[in-house]
Amino acid sequence: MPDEAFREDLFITGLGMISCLGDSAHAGFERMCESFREASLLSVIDPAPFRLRRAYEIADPAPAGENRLRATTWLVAAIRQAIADAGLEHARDLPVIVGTGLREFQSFERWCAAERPFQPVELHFEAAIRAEIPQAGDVITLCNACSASNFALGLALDLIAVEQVPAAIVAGCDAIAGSMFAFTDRAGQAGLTRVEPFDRGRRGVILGEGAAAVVLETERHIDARSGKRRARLRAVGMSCDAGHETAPDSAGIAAALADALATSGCTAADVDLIVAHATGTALNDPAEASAIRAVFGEHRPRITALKGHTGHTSGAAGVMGVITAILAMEHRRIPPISAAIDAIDEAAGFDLVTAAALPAEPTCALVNAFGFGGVNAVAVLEKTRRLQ
Amino acid sequence: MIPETSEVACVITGAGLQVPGVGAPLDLLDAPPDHDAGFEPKAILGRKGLFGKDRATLLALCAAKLALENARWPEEGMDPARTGVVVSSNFGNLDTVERVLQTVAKGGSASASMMDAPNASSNVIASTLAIRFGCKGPNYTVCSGGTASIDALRVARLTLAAGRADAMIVVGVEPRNAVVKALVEPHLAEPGSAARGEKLAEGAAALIIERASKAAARGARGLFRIAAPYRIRADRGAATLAVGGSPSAFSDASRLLTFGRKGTAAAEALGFAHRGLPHAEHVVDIEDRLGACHGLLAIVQAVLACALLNAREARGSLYALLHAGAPYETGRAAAILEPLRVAG
Repeated sequence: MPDEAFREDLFITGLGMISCLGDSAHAGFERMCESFREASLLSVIDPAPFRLRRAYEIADPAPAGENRLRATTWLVAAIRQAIADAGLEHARDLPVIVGTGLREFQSFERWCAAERPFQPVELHFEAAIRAEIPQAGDVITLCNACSASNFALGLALDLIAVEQVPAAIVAGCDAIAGSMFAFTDRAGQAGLTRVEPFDRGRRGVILGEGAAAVVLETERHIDARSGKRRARLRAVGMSCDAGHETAPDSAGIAAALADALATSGCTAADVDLIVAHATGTALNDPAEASAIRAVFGEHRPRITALKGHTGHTSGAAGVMGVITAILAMEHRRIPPISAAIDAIDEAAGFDLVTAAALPAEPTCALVNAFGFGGVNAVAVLEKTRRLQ
Repeated sequence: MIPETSEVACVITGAGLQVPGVGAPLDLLDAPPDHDAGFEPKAILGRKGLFGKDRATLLALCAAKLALENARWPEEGMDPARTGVVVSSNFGNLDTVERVLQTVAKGGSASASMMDAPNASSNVIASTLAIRFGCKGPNYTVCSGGTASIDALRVARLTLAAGRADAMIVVGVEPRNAVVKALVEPHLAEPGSAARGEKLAEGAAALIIERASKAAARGARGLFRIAAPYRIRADRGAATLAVGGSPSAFSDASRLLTFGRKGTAAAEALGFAHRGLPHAEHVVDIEDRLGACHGLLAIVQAVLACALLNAREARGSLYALLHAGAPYETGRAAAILEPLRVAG
């Protein structure tokens, strides 16, 4: 790549996360390592039209239905956490790239049902971020389905390299929307109470919600302010299937994995952890497993996945996976996918982490995120070698 | 700073417009469009593969097809595998979301049509463009409100400069329907400009943007270079200064096409008063003709600039200053298009 010479090493220096597991990145990671859970009873949208009455909801402090703009609220909270974690409270004019699948559709849908007021400016997140985050500069909202925040991470990486800015904030958020819930309900099988990634008996995906944010920073900027590195972001690989509107394509996923490896300078053998997209749907898991097999051959990195813990958090899922990979490197343990997995044929022989958190020292992690429309983005993270 | 090499320079090589009621791009300078004019996507796209596509997607497909033909794609060496897509749209699928919600509320989730599943996802336009034209490069949907169209130009420029693609299809598109009208129109009326903004624009505009080196290698006819990364600012003047550096940056522009409010002086349209500014040849108010454009705005402006440049005898003499922002939002963004001098 002709512009490679102008790229500086980039590091993630701050983490923030709100999910059904807790209201911080650390709390979420600890719960993933310690326990399994079913999705809770659906309350944030009217459950009446649906067979599936469960979701990985965030319990609201206010009575059900009272809260507006829940995705926006979590997004702002996660960004604040990430900025505080990085120690960048005094920074200004940081570009903010937000990835989302469903924007503020939950609130928009309440307006459609004549339950709440809603304004067009509330569909995206710029006004809220401008009002609440003094460190924010330009805000760009990307609507890239379930891989949105990994695309946001890739765009931020390009922005820092091309426009030569010292740091950027990357975030993802989503709240459960009835319109999308209807399609997961139609596609899911009866008796679905939890997401069961890579399992023969998997019955479908259940939506989750929340927000996640990271601060991405150049090495020079970190050193100048004596900041602390959490992990290096080596690359974000991208591809588009250009095949089917909703069905995943193994070849397209493999192309994103290959692009991630090629642009990161890592080989397949360097990778010792994959945070899989693993939605527990009939189509995703076999396609993803086949792509991993095609790219990694006989090499067997550990594989974990979040959706049995958080549900499918859609636009937030990518950065939630990134945060989980970083905390796995720091805490030297990998959270399990689920209690037990009767693995699908495509994943036979894979090193799927199950039952309990696995003591391990991952140093190079891939984080997968794939979305409707065949939009695939894979982040490559490397453990920070330099001692702080 | 980014070195000004041909490798990272991004040039516009094609433009297309699909605004119902407007024919060629130059018609944008004439009367407002007939809002009741029909729209026949089959005439541009053929009959195949249109079933179940929402209106915004159909508009975008038409504009993109025209832009690709304008750029002489793919027969002149553009590679779909190295082509990405950026769509700027804020309201594209709101009608689908509302309809699914109403259907499901009455008849349960079993009553929802699976044909609507892709349309419920806000990136359906960009992914449908990729499927139609085989584009396997990065695929982005930008939905950041009034500045989304210039955000999309920035995303395209970053993607090309980072080496992720050789060409990008950039489409701005907004539909006008009952849901969008109910949501947006109450916010359009501004104090002191009651006549403005009571209507919403509908349509799509598309640009083909390529790495200059790749465009040159395939002998493509470049129109404009996208000059500077922009910054979002609180007003037009600040946004203009942020892209131009200073008002003097425009002083070598022998001709300047400025997009702004109808009836304003050039300096005012640029957002600041400065005596040394060249006279803008045109202050063109797209929204006065089309209605509030949102995610469509800067892309329509750029398409018109391409048409005006093509219509001039002295090629390479027209600069264009694009401006975007929604009337009810605070962010304003600007971008500058520099004409490519034709060698020889």
